[in-house]
Amino acid sequence: MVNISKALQLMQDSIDSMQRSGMITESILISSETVILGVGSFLDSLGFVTFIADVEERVSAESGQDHYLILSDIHESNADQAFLSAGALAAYIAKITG
Amino acid sequence: MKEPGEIQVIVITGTTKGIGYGIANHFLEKGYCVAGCGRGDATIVHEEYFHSIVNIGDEDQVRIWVRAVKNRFKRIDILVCNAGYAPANLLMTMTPGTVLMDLLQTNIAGSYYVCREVSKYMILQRSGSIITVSSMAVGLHEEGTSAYAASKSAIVEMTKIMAKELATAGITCNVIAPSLLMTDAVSALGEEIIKRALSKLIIRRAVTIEEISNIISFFSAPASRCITGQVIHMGLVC
Repeated sequence: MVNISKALQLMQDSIDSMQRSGMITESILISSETVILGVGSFLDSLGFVTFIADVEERVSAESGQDHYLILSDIHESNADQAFLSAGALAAYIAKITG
Repeated sequence: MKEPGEIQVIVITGTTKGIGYGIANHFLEKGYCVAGCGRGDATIVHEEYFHSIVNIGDEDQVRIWVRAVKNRFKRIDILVCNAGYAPANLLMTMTPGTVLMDLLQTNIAGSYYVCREVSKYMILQRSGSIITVSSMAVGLHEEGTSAYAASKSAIVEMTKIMAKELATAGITCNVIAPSLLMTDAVSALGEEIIKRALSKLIIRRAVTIEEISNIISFFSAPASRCITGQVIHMGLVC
């Protein structure tokens, strides 16, 4: 299982990797409130896809099992919010790996 | 994209027969690793060939298959989205809804799912070449092909939009529209139908696997990195 704290750490690793590769220029510190998708997000559309695909790989590697971050399912689990936060994504990851 | 001389990984859908079977064998002979799929068992035996039974119209099956390919080969350099369903020609007024829906599910949704899943990994590696397969039916507007030609026309539009969306990730997306290839299925149509189809073309002969593969090599070559969103029609002028 990947718990919420570990999921946030995997997201931070992903963001750091994207920064090292030059995909994002600023240094981002991930917290539960960090906006991943929606107004205030630091990611453009391609950056978002890259981030989700990369986190998906990290989650699978961490848990030793194939897991898929399915955008429609993420949206369903976060339907009452106008944006996707790192905390909401972490909760979704904890749920699918639990 | 890797440089010439390094082993490349090519993913091809619909490799159990026809065009997919032919180009899979072509690229295996050229030293590529090939990951193929079809609705049935493998018809290719080669140590660098990895086969999976996949219904590309099923989103979950595609997701699992593409992950398996990525896990096995660690990268995907080229995707040839070839699998498709070509029903017998039927006038629009005679085409059952079930035929139309099967066609849209395989030709449009199937291609969409495969391109989507493969492009995620190509985005992470910041390179790749996606080649979709359309048809001469799009340019000929022949009676009896309304559903099939519409699905293949959608492939062209989808690919052009993908080309725009994925360009900044270093991924090119292009289309091949082959004319007639003499597969078993085409041969079974009979001499009369084949003759009539060829008469509509500018180059009035069947194309070969080597000619189709040559276009794939061209689109995926390192020197073609500035070519994206293009369609090559074989045998006719559009």
